[in-house]
Amino acid sequence: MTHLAWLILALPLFGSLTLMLTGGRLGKGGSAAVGVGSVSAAFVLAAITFFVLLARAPAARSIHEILYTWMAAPAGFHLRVGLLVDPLSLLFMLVITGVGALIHLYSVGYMGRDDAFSRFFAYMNLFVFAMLLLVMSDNFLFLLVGWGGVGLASYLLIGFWYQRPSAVQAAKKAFVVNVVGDVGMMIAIFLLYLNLGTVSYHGVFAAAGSLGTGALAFWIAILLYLGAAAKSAQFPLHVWLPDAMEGPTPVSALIHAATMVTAGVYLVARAYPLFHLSAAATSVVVDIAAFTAMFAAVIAITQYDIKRVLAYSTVSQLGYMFLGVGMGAYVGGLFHFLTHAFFKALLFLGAGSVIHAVHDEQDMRRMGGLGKTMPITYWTFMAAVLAISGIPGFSGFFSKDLIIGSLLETGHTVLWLVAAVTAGLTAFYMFRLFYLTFSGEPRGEKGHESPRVMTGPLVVQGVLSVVGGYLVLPGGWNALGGWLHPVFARYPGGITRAWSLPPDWASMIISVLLAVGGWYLAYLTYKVHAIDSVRVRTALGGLYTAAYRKFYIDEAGEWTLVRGALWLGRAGTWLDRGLMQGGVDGVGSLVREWGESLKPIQTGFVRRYALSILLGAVAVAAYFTLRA
Amino acid sequence: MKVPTFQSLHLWTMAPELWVLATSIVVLVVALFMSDEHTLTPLVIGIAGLVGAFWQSAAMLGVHTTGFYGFIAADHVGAVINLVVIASALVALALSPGEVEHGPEYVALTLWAAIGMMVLGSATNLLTLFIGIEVLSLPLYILTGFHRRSALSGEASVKYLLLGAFSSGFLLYGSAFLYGDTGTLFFTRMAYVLTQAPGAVNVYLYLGMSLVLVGLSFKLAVIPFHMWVPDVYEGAPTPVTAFMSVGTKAAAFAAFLRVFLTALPPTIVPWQHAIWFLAVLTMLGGNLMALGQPNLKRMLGYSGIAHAGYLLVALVAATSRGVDAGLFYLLAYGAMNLGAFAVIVALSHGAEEGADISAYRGLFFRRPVLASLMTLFLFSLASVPPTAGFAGKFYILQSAVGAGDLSLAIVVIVATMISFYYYFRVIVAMFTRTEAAEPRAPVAAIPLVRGLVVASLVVAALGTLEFGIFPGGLSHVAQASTRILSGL
Repeated sequence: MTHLAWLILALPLFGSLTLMLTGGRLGKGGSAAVGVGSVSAAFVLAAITFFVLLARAPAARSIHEILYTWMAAPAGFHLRVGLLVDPLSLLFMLVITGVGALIHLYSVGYMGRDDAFSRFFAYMNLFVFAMLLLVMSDNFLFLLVGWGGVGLASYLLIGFWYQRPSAVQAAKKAFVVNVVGDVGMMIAIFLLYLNLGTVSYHGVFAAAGSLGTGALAFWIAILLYLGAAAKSAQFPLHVWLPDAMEGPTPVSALIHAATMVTAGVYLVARAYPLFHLSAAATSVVVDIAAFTAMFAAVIAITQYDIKRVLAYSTVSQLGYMFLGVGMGAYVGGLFHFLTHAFFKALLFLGAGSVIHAVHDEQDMRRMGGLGKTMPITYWTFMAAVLAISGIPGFSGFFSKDLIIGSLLETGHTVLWLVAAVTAGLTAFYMFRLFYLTFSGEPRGEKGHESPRVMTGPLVVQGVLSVVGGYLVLPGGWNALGGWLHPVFARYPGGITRAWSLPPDWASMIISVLLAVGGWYLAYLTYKVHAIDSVRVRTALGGLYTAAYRKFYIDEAGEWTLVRGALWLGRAGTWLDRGLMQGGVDGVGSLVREWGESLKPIQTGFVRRYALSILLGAVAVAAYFTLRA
Repeated sequence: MKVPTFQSLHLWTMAPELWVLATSIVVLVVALFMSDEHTLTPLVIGIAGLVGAFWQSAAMLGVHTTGFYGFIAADHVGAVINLVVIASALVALALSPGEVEHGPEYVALTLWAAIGMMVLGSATNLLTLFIGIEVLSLPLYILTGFHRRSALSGEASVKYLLLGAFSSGFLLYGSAFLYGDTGTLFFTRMAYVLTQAPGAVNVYLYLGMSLVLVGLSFKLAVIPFHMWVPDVYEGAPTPVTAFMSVGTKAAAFAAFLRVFLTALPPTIVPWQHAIWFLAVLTMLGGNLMALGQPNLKRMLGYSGIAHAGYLLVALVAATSRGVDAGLFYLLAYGAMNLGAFAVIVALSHGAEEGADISAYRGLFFRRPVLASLMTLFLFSLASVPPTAGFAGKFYILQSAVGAGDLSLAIVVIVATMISFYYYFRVIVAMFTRTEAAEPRAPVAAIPLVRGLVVASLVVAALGTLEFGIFPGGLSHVAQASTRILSGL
């Protein structure tokens, strides 16, 4: 098994290529078999690898497989294509293939009515391949390849229903924002290569100390973080994620909840020796994370589209993860990634089941009363809501509390307050969604339960959303921490004070009280209607409108980024037409006589072209003669 | 510093050129006695001749000597350029059966242009350089206008001719100034004179240098001497465009290397600054202007301009690593650009008109293999790893950084980012399903023609992947260029 890591990567790639090249000739059954089968097989291999590593001594739990030497430059720079399977990448691999396989299976039912069935699975398999490459690469360059690959797959899947202009628009937006992040990462990797002469993880991390703790370390960390923030929807680069909900719901579950958006968390955790160097950079990371968590939670309260609420909730939960990995509480951040992958994928799959049942309605104002007709969806959804709200006993409680408690223990009092209050907001908006959708009288379709191929994954995810939390218990059992320990003990900066803090019972009680309070408020407002939500809304006035309008971030982005891109395009056209042809026209009369002699081809352009050459020649000659 | 002496003629140093010349004569003679139903015979002879020349050029890799009394270099750079030129001529001919039907001269003209490019790539002095440029240009003027009934084609031809003559004038004036100042036409001798007689570095030298720079920049399509490119690329028959975009560029780049790195190293600082500026202008301008182009051939024209800018970056580095990077980039650019044009031709053989981007909407669902290949070539042009374009860009960046020019490296990155938009626009169009799925049109009816197109596509695709996935194994072809360029 130790030399077969590449097979985990190759299976989804093979699946994707098969589906693309056969172009639907396999039929729906065949496409589903290839699509689900390849990811499931990859999961089985990843699971076997897990047990193989588990049987080893902790320090020996890593497989480094070099596929071949990609480039060997004369100056001694070697770039090898290598795979690194260690506890950190294996954690991600298991989630990508495991949750991925469940979501693929669910999609068989969800996408059953779609004509482009096989194309859907081709893209999904492509995504799984790229995401696996991202976490399995042993160097920054191929991390970037995977990084671009998941962006491409995400772009294709957001715009999957290309007939909807809004889907195409959303896909473009995601692309633009992610390019901003990619440029940042590229420059960071470039700086690493420039200063350390290598881009392999081991080479960079072992020599990270030579970067110092000053401006260089700060910029490398911040530029890497720019890539992470764009992928993981940190403020203000979060704007693409809510729009990305235009894609099919299984896509939202897999890519925009469980895996791709957590790539930034992976990057910060993987590159901990770099982030550790700059306290200024990590404080930027945690400050933005806390702001993102609360900001997105406030917006989530005001939204009516069921998927948009979940999208803002994802942005908010990613804020928690970044709080964890940013302050050095790596187990907390990665633990929350794991539980979030379970419960948030479940929430999306449940929402998909609902949307499927009410014929593509997404507005919660036209739902209600679905609990009776969709019992399996109802109960599994409830497990997920309890988990994300941080109700004790459910997975989200354990992981979120680990982060919130660490914040107080490491002295981030203000951030702690923000995170705790956000926990209350989370419970409020999740139960608001839950009551609006499932309780009361139907305000729209009555709905029906989804087929087994969809409810099966719901049940599995529901169980995981409960038991997934028992990997780390307050004050004692820490299976995840023990598993990850060798990764973070390898280079300086991994095992920080936040690694093994005692649980903060006071913090835990306060955040649980806030969560229960949020739940109770939602209960009063949306279940028993003791509080009139309309009156609250009017009382809040402008504040509500601002939150409902997502604090006008989209508009601001529109004005700067998108207009900027348009302007760039226009500048190009202007350069082409205006400067090169029109501007030259002004001096055109100088050579009119010469032009007259070219009667046979009096298109009027040749003169201008020639004049451009002449002016260029004069400029070059003037430059040289002035230098001389 | 070696002073040229009289030596024996060394005919073998021009073996590929002479071989192609002989082939062209055979083609013309055969065409005289040819009946109408054998229109493809000249084409097959031309292809066979080029394959022979390719083999001869490959044998000259790593050689280091001169022939024709020092007028022609037989060296590694020349051999690499020959390979790129011959490959592009091969692809151009393989894609040209439609053109050849209009006259067997087409094959001969293509071969002559290839000879000019090879001579330019092996020039050791200003005279050979000028002859090379003229020999490559004249057939290209005619080839551009080969679609006699197309107004666009004729107009492009005349434009190209007029502007080409104009730029040749600059080159000639510049050469005269350089000769007048240094008293020699030979590049190595020129460098020797400039180092031995500091007084020679004067205003006339700079004037000559700037005019030669302008003349060569025209051929390489450097902004602001690029204006002819989009019109000519659009108007010329597509195989000719493919040939020009790769072959001319390769030969012109070799001329840049020889003039600036062999003859003019003593004035390295000023020309580095000037070319630095032209490179920035070309990379950014080419990519920005490509953004809004609705016609794929025009878009590839502007993209070709941008790629000329990347080549200049390798020149500005003025290191052996830079030269290697530039040559590797030429190989990569050749594979991916010829591939993209081959797809355009393959589509225009069928019912579909290949040039407008809107015609590519939903192509993936009609012609999945062609669309996938086009995606590969466009990815490579956009330098997405692990394609040839990425490896090439990587080497270019490495050479810029190695020469300590961080700002130029950043411009390369920014320019590449801009280029994503227009390359990806085509890819997105191909993967966007249209309502009415049109019936598949065959690539071509005649098996031979079909086979030639398929072969071009396969070779280009293999090259694009091979250079991208295993650049280490192949970059040695582009290496060892150091010792022939005396300035390094």
